[in-house]
Amino acid sequence: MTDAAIEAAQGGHEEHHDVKPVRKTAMWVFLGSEFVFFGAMIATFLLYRNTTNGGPGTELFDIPFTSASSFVLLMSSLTMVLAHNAFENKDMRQTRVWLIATALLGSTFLAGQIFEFTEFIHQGLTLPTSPFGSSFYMLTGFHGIHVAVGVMLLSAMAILSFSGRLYDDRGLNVELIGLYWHFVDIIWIVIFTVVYLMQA
Amino acid sequence: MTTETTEVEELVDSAAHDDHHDEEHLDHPTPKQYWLIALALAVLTGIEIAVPSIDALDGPVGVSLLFILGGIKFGMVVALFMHLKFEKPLYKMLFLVGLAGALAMFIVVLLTFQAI
Repeated sequence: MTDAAIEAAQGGHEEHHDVKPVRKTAMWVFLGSEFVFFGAMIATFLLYRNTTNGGPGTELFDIPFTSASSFVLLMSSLTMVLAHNAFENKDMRQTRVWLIATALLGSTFLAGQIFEFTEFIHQGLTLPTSPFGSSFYMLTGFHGIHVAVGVMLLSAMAILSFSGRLYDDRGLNVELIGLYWHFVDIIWIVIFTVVYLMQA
Repeated sequence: MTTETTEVEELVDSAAHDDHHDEEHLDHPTPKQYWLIALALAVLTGIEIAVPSIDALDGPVGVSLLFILGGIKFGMVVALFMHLKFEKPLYKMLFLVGLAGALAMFIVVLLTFQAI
């Protein structure tokens, strides 16, 4: 690392150096690479959606239940953008409220996914049951892990806000976590449409 | 070393300047508009959920409609909630390159296995 980069990372010469755009660029690069990751998994699911080895398949899907989960995740994008808006307006109380609301909505989505997986396992669909089961659990499970990471980041942000350590110019700030969270939401929009609705 | 340091400083300063320029774009939607966008997304989701249960929309018509509705929702979240509509071209390009890469690989995989 060069002297200038080290100084920038340590907050030196703050009047000249602002690493915020660099971190934001890194986040967009990360999200772009995540597209390829999820694209591969969705393509794999589509390849194996009918390969059930005589086991359960898409008839297990409970569209009304998954629709409710999808709605919850969609609304979490609203609370996230409201948190970002409040943060930009330096309203820390509102920021905290919307961050906690987003984390709770994300947790609700995760609880729904755990319930769905439990139901499917009881009905005989496990990871090794068939290529359909493997590709379904890998795709939706990895998305769930992304949601879980997001919930942890949001919770950390909310906790930091209580001690006034929610900064705009260092670490992962509300805007960057917001970008990540909305990305998780748009990936679910694709999964919900391609994996659930199109197979219904 | 001095030349290298100067180049890094210029790059960081330039990026910072761009970002400050972006921050002047305070034309992001208002909280009220965010609620309206969320309402529109909810309505679109409702229509999506109804499509598979409508017999007249069975087959390619229904699938096309689901793609269009999903695409609109995707676009609205990206443009308005992620603020990509208001961002500088670099971020738009990074997003589109990732999206294009995913679509290209998606199509290549399905073609390779003769799934489409």
